[in-house]
Amino acid sequence: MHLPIQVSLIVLALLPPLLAEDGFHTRASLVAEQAWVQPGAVQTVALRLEMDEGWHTYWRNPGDSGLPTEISWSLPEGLQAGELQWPLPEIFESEAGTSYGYAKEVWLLCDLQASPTLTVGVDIELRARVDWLECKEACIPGSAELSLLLPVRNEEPRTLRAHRDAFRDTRKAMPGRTVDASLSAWRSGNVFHASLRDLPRNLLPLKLLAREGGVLDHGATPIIHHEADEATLLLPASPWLTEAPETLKGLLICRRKGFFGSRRVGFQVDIPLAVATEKK
Amino acid sequence: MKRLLNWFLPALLLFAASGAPALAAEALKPGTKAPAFTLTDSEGQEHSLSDFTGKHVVLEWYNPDCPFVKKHYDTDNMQGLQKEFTGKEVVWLLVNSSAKGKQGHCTPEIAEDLRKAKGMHATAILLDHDGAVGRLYGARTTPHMYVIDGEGTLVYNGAIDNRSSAKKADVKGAKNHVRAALNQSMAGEAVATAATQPYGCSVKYAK
Repeated sequence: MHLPIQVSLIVLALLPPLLAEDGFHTRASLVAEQAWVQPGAVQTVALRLEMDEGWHTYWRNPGDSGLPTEISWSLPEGLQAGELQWPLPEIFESEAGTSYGYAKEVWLLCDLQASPTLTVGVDIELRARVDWLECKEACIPGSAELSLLLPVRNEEPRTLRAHRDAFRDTRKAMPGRTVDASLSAWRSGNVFHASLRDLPRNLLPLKLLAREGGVLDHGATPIIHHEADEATLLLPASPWLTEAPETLKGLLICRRKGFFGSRRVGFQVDIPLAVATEKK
Repeated sequence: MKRLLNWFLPALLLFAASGAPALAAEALKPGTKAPAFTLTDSEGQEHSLSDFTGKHVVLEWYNPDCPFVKKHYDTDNMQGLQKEFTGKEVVWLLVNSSAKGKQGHCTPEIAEDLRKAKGMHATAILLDHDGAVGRLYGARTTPHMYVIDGEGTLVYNGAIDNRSSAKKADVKGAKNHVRAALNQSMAGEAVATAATQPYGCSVKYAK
């Protein structure tokens, strides 16, 4: 089959972008929530990662091994990207330790703030370089150059029907920004204690993961002590913790009991660490 | 309440340790005695840690197919470090804990071929295919680096440097913790950064 070069180029241009990432077990793409960008408004974009069966990518704190997925934006003037928002991760255990990440598919969200002075009536291109580590037994560093073209219009953005459910489900899996409880934490030797007082009765605390590495021992099973209105989590420190942080930056994972059963939910918690009780 | 928890702590921690995977929950602490071991190398020769009393010893957990290991070998970073310190009487031991059938498993022949092909300057490549020494040391990743001084005291446990990535471009400009630990310890100084969280692939231990 000898096609003229022009035809071949057209065929190449029409091929789906996943061919560009051949050799990887993860397909990355950018997905917009809304059909256009409105000056002065926020457009949420998802970095969609689809992993082959058995493969996983990592959460912001990968755990004992692995690497967090990274995105580096090249945005037109007038658009500013916020931090990546990470849904509740899964916990993977292996002979060599514990890691946190996502299997099958995950949508990492990012809010893009459009400046009120953004020019209306033109298309803008959002470009991003994405790096991830994908692992099954073995690990492969993956990367992709992604791009998304969006019009700029000065009217209330319309949510794209095709992605509405996925964005809704992803938001449901996002940790809450706060938990309705009074929190305190202290460190006693090699163990952090996190006390949750007056937690809503339908929430049963299960785990507290550190949002950064080197703070908590990823492999240890937390001990949870319940007493009246207080639940205290005993969290062994990371073997590599040298300097105690001022704040325990965590993801509290709870089981929420509801009328129709229970589900796993997460809350971002930032608990100042009391230093006074620290002892050798 | 706090006193109660403190009293219960040892028992609770024991319980926590028993719930953890096969690895020791407590990583080896710098300042403590490095555990004794004996392993056979890729040339069939046995080495014990005690053979090297009086010398500094580096243990480098190794899996040739791990992208994080490749980052440091493809850039000659690891070989350069090996050459620099074996030239100063330091004993540099690679440890391969990849079980048979798992990624990066080195038979003696494969290990010897790699030593030549990669231009390594390691003293020996130790084969730990049942993972016993890896577990004894709590090795979590490849690479995972340990530095032991001439008296057999562990002085460093952790990452090779401060750039936890698989990108070769990140080697330049990274702060190499192993070089710093060796230089400080060999000069008789305390090691300033004695423990860091290692980064890399998980060690491919036998089940």
